Amino acid sequence: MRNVVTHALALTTGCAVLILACTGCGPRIDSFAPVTGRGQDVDNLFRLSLILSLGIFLLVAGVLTYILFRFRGQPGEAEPPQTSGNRRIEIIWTATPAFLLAGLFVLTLQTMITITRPEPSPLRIQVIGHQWWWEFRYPDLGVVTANELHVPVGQPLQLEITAADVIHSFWVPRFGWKMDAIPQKINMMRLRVNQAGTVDGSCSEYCGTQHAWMRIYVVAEPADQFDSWVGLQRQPAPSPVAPTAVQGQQIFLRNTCVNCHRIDGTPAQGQVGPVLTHLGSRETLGAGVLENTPENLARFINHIQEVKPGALMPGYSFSDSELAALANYLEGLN
Amino acid sequence: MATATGHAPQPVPEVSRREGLYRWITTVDHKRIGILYLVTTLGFFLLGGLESLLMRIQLAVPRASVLGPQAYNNLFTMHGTTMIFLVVMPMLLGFANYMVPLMIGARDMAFPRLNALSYWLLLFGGLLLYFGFVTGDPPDVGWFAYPPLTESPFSTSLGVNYWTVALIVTSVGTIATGINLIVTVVKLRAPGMTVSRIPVFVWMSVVTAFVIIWAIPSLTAAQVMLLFDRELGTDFFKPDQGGNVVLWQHLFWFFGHPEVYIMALPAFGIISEVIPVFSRKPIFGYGFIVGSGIAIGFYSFLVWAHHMFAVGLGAIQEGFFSAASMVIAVPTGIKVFSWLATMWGGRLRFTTAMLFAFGFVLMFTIGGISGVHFATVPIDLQTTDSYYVVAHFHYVLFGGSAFAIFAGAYYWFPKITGRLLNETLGKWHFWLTLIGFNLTFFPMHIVGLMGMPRRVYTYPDLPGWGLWNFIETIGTAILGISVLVFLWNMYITFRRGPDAGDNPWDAWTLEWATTSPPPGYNFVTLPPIRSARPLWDLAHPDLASGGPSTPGSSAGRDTPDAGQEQGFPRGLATPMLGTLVFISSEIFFFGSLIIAFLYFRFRSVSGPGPHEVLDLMYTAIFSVALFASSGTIALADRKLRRGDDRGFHIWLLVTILLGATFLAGQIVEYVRLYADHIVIGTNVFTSAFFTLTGFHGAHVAIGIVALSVLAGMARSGRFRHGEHRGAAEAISTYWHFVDAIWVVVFSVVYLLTLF
Repeated sequence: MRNVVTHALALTTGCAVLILACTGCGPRIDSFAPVTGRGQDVDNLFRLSLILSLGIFLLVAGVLTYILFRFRGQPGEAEPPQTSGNRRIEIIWTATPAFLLAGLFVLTLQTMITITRPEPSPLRIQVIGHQWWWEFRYPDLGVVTANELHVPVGQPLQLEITAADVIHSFWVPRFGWKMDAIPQKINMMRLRVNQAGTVDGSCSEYCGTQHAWMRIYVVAEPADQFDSWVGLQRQPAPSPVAPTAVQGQQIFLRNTCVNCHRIDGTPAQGQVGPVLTHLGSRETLGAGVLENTPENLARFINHIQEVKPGALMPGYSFSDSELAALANYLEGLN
Repeated sequence: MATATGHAPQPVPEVSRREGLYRWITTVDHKRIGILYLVTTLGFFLLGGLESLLMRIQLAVPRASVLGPQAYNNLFTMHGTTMIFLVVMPMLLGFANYMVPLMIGARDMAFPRLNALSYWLLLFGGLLLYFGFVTGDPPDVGWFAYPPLTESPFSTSLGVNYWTVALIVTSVGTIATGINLIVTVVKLRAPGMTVSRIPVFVWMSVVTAFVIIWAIPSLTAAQVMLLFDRELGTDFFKPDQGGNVVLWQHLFWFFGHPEVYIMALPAFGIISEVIPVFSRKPIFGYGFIVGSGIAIGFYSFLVWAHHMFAVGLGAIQEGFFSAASMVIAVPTGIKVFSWLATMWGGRLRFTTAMLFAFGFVLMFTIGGISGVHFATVPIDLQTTDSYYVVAHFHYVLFGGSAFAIFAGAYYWFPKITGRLLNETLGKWHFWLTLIGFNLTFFPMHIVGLMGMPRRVYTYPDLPGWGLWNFIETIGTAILGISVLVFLWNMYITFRRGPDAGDNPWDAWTLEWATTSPPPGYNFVTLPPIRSARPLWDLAHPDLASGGPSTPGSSAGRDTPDAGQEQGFPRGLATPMLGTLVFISSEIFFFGSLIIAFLYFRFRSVSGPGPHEVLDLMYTAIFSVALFASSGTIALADRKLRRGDDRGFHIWLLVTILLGATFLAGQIVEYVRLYADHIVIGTNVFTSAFFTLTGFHGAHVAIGIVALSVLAGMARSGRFRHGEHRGAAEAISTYWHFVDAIWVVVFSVVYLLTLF
């Protein structure tokens, strides 16, 4: 019988180790690799709770496996003793989880308080969810951008999250947690990114047709690089010099592009779609759907309903040369 | 074999062999209705499964384009709605419908016709939901349909309307089933079936029924508001008009979380029947098992906001709901430990039903444990709305509820059809399900933690995402095969399976004390009920498991001894009990509307407010008529009790007149407001005002119809010999309730203007 117990335990532990190995050796799991101090607190709580969970699961699985081997009935065997309860055991297995959970609850409260505590003089960033892109405004710096969030490393940030149309949710897993973006409501996320680099995120509340392509690209950079990025973003769009780019600008300004998009330094002052003043400096188009290259941009403009079906931008039918000029102009905005 | 029913004559086979469609359509037999439920929900299960298969094909590789975003969004909305409202919940109710009357030794449900109505509402509600596919416009808003996405500016699709109406229709049927189950178990238990002898499945069905009748009304209220927003121009969930989108979430999850337990508790019940029978031992800790079920039912109403932590509710609410959600893990744990202890020391029989029960215990434990992560606020904020939550609730609803349904199917199929399912195919079915299920859903934990949000029709090719998603799709394919094996098994068994006999498993609850399938009247005779295991007591007079020792000679007796009659509640008449249970459900419906009204009452919005809309004196005058009618109906009641059916008739007419006066007063009030261009869609205050008072008016109108029926019956002398008194009392109780609600509505709507 002891043999059976050992086997059962070995089997379940083996399975658990295998699962952990699969998840541990594979690609990085963002939730377990936070880049913020507060995310680290959430992660610590999560890991503790996972260990606890694994313990309980192994207990149940181990006991069940033991039972399956030990108490397998044989045909013709007499009925077993008819025990129908044991008050003491029942009280123990009621009280023990209750105590464990009470402990977990205390840690929960602690972490909740830690991750919401305000810090002095944070950099304010307004995060506004739209169908289906993100607007980032830095009210104290006079910068407005879209889909790519630039943040300085080490400085306290205050993300003020809201939505322009329907409910979205701002989730960068490596920040450590998410908050919903709700129209007419502002949710705060207060954190500090403590390492330079880029991290991914996305909208995580279903918000309509293109919920899948509402991704977030975060660039965390040292203060000086961030400052120079800010300096660049504050400038109006550079005037085109090359003849194709000039032609591209004229096409842009003559068409309905200007109803929705804004390019500072030009008459285009639309407020509905993403600002394009420094489009050329971004990594992706359409909130993550395409890499930002002139060819992709051309495709995006003429075939948006194939690239990002349902997007609220109409498809255009520019000629190849018009498209090339337009792409040339827009990609030059950096 | 045949130990229990050796004494029972084999019932005569059903008279007619040509039981056509007509007999199924007109049936009020709980067993036939149960079968209709099970077959219909099996059909919807195949549809919902097909939808999931299509989704998994689209997600098999990154940036696939098998389905467009629109089609994908339709599919996940329909998959969730189907599986919850048309499969898991009604399938479990189908089992309850078939088994509960048998397990308590009753002949049928308390209200057989109402029972039939419930089924037809489910079927037509389901068809209405799927009508969206016919019009080419299925809903695409997700099963919890958060506004403002569901408001007309963002969802012009008619599918959302079908979705709303379909859920209201099925919900009415579900509430009716809940009332029916409660009254059946309270009123129709066989003599000797005391509270501590009720089978655990029946207990869990009753707890579920209470959760149903108290949770679903808030969904109905929310759906009504949404439908009014979309079709009548009200502003409940329009943030730019002073509406509140978070109110929808509160109302929805006040229903939505109990709904999880509506789908889990009967599953716990099935498992608590299967495990003891195949362990050859009674359930370990009957009291704790039942008590923890009741505790879960109760706590399920206090944890809804853990679905909303990312909304930003504020620290105090979050703390409260976090604690309450953790508390619910304790009774759930008790159940798992009790099942293990039931098996411990038993003589396990590895039937397919039992295999699914083993699978259930293990898989549900995973789902239960990951559930605690969602009670832990910071962890919830990281994992909610990611694939981690998709993994979690499928471990609860598939690893839990669906495994229990399969266990129940193998366990009860012989009772329902008279034929045993093939055990070899059953084992294939089990292993394919277990493997397919884990391949599909375990990796979802991982991709969720990697950052994959739920409800995306495609995803970028980030490291690891493609691999795990591909594995999930393979898992789903295996699950699809497992379902085919199950269908094949049922098909061939039904055609030419081995005869089941009355009690193939040597089980001990009453459904096994009759033939398989049972005759229309269920039992010829009932065995004596002296414990929770009457058939065990018969078979093992020496090992009888509690209660007084059973003399061996009692095996053939069909009349219970006198002592068993005690402790058996008679009390309220059946219609009265049904009405009271219904009223308790209505209170939750009006409660939702009143909460919405009070919330919007104090919002300052442009347009007419309480002081412009409400005329306290005028309303007070016509309200007097309604309040007085409570007195007149009481007088009518008294006349009836004294056998004065003429006096009864007269006072009924007076009551109807007073009710009509009230209704006329309300109509005049509405018309005057309309003349001032104040209508339901004017602003958020008028939205709440007209919805609340209008629904009350509708209740008065229904009451008047019911009273008129009574009056007509009284006129033709149908109460002359004390008959139908129960119906009259039930309706007058309902009328008192309509008055009482008006006291509350009048206070919060009109009297509040004084302050």
